[in-house]
Amino acid sequence: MRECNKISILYGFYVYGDLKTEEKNIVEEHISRCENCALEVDSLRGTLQLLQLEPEPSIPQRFMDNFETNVYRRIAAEMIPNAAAIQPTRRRIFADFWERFLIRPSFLLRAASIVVTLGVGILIGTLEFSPTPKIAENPQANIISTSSVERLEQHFQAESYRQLENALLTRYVAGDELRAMEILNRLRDENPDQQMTSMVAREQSELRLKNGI
Amino acid sequence: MTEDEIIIAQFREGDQDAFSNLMKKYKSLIFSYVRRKVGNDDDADDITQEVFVKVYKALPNWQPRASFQTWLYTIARNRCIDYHRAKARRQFHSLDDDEEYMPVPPATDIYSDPEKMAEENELGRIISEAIKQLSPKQKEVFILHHYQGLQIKEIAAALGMADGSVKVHHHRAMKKLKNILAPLREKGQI
Repeated sequence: MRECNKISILYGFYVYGDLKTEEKNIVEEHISRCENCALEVDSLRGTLQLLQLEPEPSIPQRFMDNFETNVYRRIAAEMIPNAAAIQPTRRRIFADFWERFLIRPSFLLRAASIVVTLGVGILIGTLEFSPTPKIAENPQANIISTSSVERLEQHFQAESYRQLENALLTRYVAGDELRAMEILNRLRDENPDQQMTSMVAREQSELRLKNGI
Repeated sequence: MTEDEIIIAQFREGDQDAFSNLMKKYKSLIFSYVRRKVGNDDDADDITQEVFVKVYKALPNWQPRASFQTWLYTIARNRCIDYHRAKARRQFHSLDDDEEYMPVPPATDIYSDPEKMAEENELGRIISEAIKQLSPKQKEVFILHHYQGLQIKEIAAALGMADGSVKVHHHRAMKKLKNILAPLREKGQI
């Protein structure tokens, strides 16, 4: 009986198959010669089967969709002064865009060429106008890891470029200039980066001239 | 190096996407764990966000004494305890103000919204009621193992107890659930 009590604390994990081989062997050796414990293990196995019938409640879709954005927003609010206003809206913007895009799949090729052109342009712009020293000129840059704040700023800057790209795709590929204007307005309001502000302003003035808006 | 440790190293080198990858990997697990502890989606969402904000700030100094997942559960568990404490305090203050009294569940209670669980299904409701009858430690151990899939050592690290205590609490939890759910089994539900 004393042996039963000692070994019985392993039965819970045993029925789940979560014991180490050594402990599993001890349990199996014991229940092979102890009828009471064998019945107890059987009964626990039945309980486990019942527990496994319980369906896991689903995770709300709104949680899955907005989680990363909400976390970054909170981090920014805590770590970067006045950054709470910088809110990535990529998911919503892209959802709208792809909805349009799927209706007009013939624009795939044009979209791809614009993306490539923009990518190259942004890369050249970054290399040419970046105020930070290049890695070759500053070997320490390879070693010093970026701070949390710098990482966040990079994140939001990358987010802004993606939004600008989206505005241009909306204008040139989806042909929706009013929607493109909306995206640009939001970018202007949300983004404090000087280079981005001037790029947005240039696009907006082109659109205003063309459409008289 | 584990997969998580590689991702964390990438994050420390400045790769912002690495942190997003950690969130994608663990957000559902932590959300479902927290939801079991606080009993509703909105607070679970809020607390899960807080957990990852805390992780973001602490990650540069994190040392892999236990697995990343275990650390995550420890933070989530502590946040849930804070949540219940704050809720109890609010309740206390509103009593002072002669506001309407609403019973507050104990700090480690789970399924504080059984009606919602009843909507999910009858079996879920019965099981959740059964789990409510476990002691706080039995509940903690059982939830981390049964629902979250943590192993003995991970549970021990997350809860700060010895492996042997984890085994004892788990066995007692299983034994209690077996007795509570016995009528269901006898009715031929399984």
